[in-house]
Amino acid sequence: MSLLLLFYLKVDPPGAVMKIFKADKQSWIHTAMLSLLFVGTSLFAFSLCGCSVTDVQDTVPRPVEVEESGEKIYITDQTGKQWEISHAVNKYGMQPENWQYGLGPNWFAPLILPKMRCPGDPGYPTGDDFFRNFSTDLVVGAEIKGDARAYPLAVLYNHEIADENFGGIYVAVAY
Amino acid sequence: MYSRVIDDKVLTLAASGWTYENTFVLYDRESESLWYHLRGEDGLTCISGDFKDRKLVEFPSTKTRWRFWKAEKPHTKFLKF
Repeated sequence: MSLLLLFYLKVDPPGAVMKIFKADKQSWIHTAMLSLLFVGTSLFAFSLCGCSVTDVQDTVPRPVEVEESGEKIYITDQTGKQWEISHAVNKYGMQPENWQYGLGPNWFAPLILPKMRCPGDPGYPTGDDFFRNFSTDLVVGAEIKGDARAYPLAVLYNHEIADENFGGIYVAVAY
Repeated sequence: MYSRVIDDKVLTLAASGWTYENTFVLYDRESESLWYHLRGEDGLTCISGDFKDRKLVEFPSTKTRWRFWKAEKPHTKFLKF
């Protein structure tokens, strides 16, 4: 930000800087221009430094690494982990080439016995306003022995699985 | 939604990171066995690992809108996130 101000100062006569701090129409234009320049420079700098998602895996399908050793068939995922899939191939016809992504077992961390909100708790969704509660509107609902629970798809999407216990029954809620 | 109990053992199911025919292949953290919902069948089948060919039974669950679910089940809990 200060670098930007310096740049701005160099380009314009010092008098322009004083205008920013005056409460008049001209100063608002200067402020707007300055903000725009700041945003533009930040975005440019950000793209230059090559910042990206911390994860190295590709989220596009790619040819899967298959290895056959004797009777056993192995596929290697993008984290380098090997999975032995002989039985899946031989009995269930799940061809190695059709196994996709291989993002690794830690890409989607399952929810494990997550906390729930009960009716009346602070933050419990009312569901009245569709647009305000958009992210919570689509849910997976399930009930066992009178214990009813709802999981917003938007959240479940990132975890794939919620390992739960409903009314004493251990279940996995799937997206 | 699937049961995650087998032989009195509670399994922690998770996504393996693999998909097969656009369906997630799951695994259990305890034995690293692979579990998959085979087309035309109910429940999860163990396709590889310690529990080969065993099944985890499916429970009913509904994909719906919150307000409809809430209207039907006013006592429902909601995930805290």
